[in-house]
Amino acid sequence: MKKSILILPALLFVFIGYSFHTSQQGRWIAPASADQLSNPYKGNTWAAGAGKKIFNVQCAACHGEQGKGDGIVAVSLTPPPANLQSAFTKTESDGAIYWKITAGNAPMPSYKLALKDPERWQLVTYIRELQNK
Amino acid sequence: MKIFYPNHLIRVLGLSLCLLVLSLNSWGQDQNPPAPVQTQTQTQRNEQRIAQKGPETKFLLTGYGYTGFEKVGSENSTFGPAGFSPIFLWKKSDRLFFESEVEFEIEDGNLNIGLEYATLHYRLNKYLTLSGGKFLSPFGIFQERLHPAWINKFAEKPMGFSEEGAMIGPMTEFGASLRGGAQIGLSKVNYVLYVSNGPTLNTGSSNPMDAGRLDYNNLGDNNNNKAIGGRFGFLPFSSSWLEIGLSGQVAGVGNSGSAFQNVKTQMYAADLSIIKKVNFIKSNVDIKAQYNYVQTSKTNYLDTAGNSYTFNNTSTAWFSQIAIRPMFLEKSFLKNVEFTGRYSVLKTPQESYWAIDNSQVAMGINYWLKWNSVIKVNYQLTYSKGEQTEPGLFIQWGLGF
Amino acid sequence: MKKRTLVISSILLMVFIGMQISSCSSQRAMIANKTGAQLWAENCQRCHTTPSPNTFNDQQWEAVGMHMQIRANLTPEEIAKVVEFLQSANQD
Repeated sequence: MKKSILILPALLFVFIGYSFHTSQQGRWIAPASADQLSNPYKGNTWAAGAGKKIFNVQCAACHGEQGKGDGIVAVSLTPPPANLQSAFTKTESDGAIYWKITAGNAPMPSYKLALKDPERWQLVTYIRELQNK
Repeated sequence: MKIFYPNHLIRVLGLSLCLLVLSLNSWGQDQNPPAPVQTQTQTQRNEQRIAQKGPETKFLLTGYGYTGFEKVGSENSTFGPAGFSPIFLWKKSDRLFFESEVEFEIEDGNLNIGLEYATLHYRLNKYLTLSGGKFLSPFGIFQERLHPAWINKFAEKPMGFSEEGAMIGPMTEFGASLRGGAQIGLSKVNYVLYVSNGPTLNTGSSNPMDAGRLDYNNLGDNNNNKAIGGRFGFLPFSSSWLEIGLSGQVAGVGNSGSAFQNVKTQMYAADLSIIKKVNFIKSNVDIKAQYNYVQTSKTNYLDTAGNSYTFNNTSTAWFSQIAIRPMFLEKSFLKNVEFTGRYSVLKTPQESYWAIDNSQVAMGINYWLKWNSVIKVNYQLTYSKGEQTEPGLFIQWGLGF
Repeated sequence: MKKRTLVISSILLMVFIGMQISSCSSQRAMIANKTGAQLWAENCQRCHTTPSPNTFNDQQWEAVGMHMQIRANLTPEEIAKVVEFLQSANQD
C-alpha cells in the first residue's frame, strides 16, 4: 500500500526530468544587411557611460546587470534572455546588436520607439565594454 | 485602560488614512511627471493598435486550476483537492472595471461551487478607487494576494487561513471599499478602507459545540451594525522589496434583537513581505508572514447539558514562510527549483468546545515548469496539544492562466 | 503602555512620511524616471512569479493592468508604465 504512494513522486521526477530540456532551438540571427551599419560611438567611453545608464533601467531586469542573461525575471522568459557576454554575442557585429535592440523578438520588446537612435548605439557601445571587462 | 482594544488601532488607522488622503490630494497636483516625448510615441503606437482591433472593452478570461494528491496521518490517501477558478476581467473604460472569480473545488469528497468575488470598481482619482460587491478581504495579505494555488508556495493554506479546523479572520467581504496607493518620496503607501456585512456569531443554537465561533459567510447580515475595516501598507524602499502592513476590522456579530445583539468582534492583522535577491546563494528569497488576532466579546452560551457558561473568546493564527529559488545559477535545472519552509500556529479559545492548540511545520520543493505552472511536493508535521504528531504528504500541480 | 507605544510609533511614522514628502527633487526624478521594465521586475514578483510579456495581447494587458493595479494598490503611473512595456513586446 505504501509502495503505491511512492509511485507518484517517482512519476513526478520522471516527468520533471523529461520536461527539462536545455532548448537550444533556432538562434536569433540579425540579417546580413545589419552588419553594414556602423556604430557612431565605437570605443567612445562617454557613450558607453550613457549606455550603462540606459542598460541598467531598460535591459538589466532580464539580461542582468552584467549582461549574463541572469536578470531577476530571466527565469520567466522563453526563449531566455541572451547572455551578452557569450562567445556568440561577441562575434556579432555592432550593427547586428543595434538591429536586434531596434527590432525586438518576443518576449523581448522592440526599442524602436522607446529609445532614440543614438541611445540604442550607446547601448551597443556599453555592451561591448561589458564584454571586454 | 488595562486592555488594549484593537478598535483604537482601527480608529488611529482610519484617521491617519483620512489625513493622508486629504494631504495627498492637495500635494499631489504637481506630481504628474512630465511624460518623456519618446515613450509617448510608444504609448500612441499601443493606443493606435488597440483602437484598430475594434470594440472599446478590454476583456480577459483568466484564472487558475490545480489538482493534487494527499496522504494525511492515518487517513486514506486520496487525489485532491482539485479546482478550477475562472476569473473574468472587463475594463470598460479607464475608470470603470469589473472583475469576478467563480470557484469550483473538489475537496473531501464534495464539489463546492462558489462566487469568490464579483466587484465593480470606479476610479475616482489617481489616489482612490471606489469598489462595491463581494471582494477578497484586505485583512493581511494571504487571502487577498497569496491564496491562489499557483501563487501559494505550499499545497495547503496555513493553519487558521482555511475552513479546515478554524478560520481566524475573514476570506471575503460583501460591501464597499475605497482603496489606492501613492508614492511618497522614495517610499510607497497603500490603503484600503471598507464597510461590509461582516461575520456572524454562531451562538450554538443549532449545535452547542460551535458556540462562540464566527461564521464568515457574509451574503446576508444579521444586524444593522456593519463591519468597518481597513489595511495600511508601507513600502519604505524604492525598489519595493519590503512591505509592512497593518489591518483591522470591528463588527457587531450578534443577531439584532437577541441576547447576543451587543456582541462585537475586533480583529487585527500584521503582515510582512520581503523579496530580495541574495547574491551569495545566487537565489531570490521570498519571505512572507502574517499574524491574525480575533477577539469576540465575552458572553454566555449554553453547554451540551443546557447550563450557561462563558469563556474568553480570543483566537490567533499566524504563519511565516520562506521560499528560496536559486534562479541566478548558470545553466542548471536548479534554476526552476524552489525550496520552501513554513511554520504556522493556530490557537482557539481553550475553554470552548472548539479548542485548538496546534502548530505545524511544512517543508517543500517546488518545480516551476513555466512562470505560471508549478508542481509542489510538501511534507508537513502537525503538532496538536496532547495528541500524536500528524504527518502529511501533499503533491499539487497549479497552473495560472 | 501599549497605547503609548502605538501613539509614539504613529508619530514616528508621520515624521517619516513628512521627511519623505520633503525629500529632494533628485529622488523624485529617480522615481519618475523608472522604466516599465524595472517596475514590472520589481512589483509583480512581490506576490507571484513575473509573467512573460508575450503572455497576452494588447487589450488583454489593459484588463490585467487594471486588475493588478487595484489588487496590489499600485499607483496609476506605475501600472501605465508596466502595461506599456508589456504591450511593446507584442510585435505588429
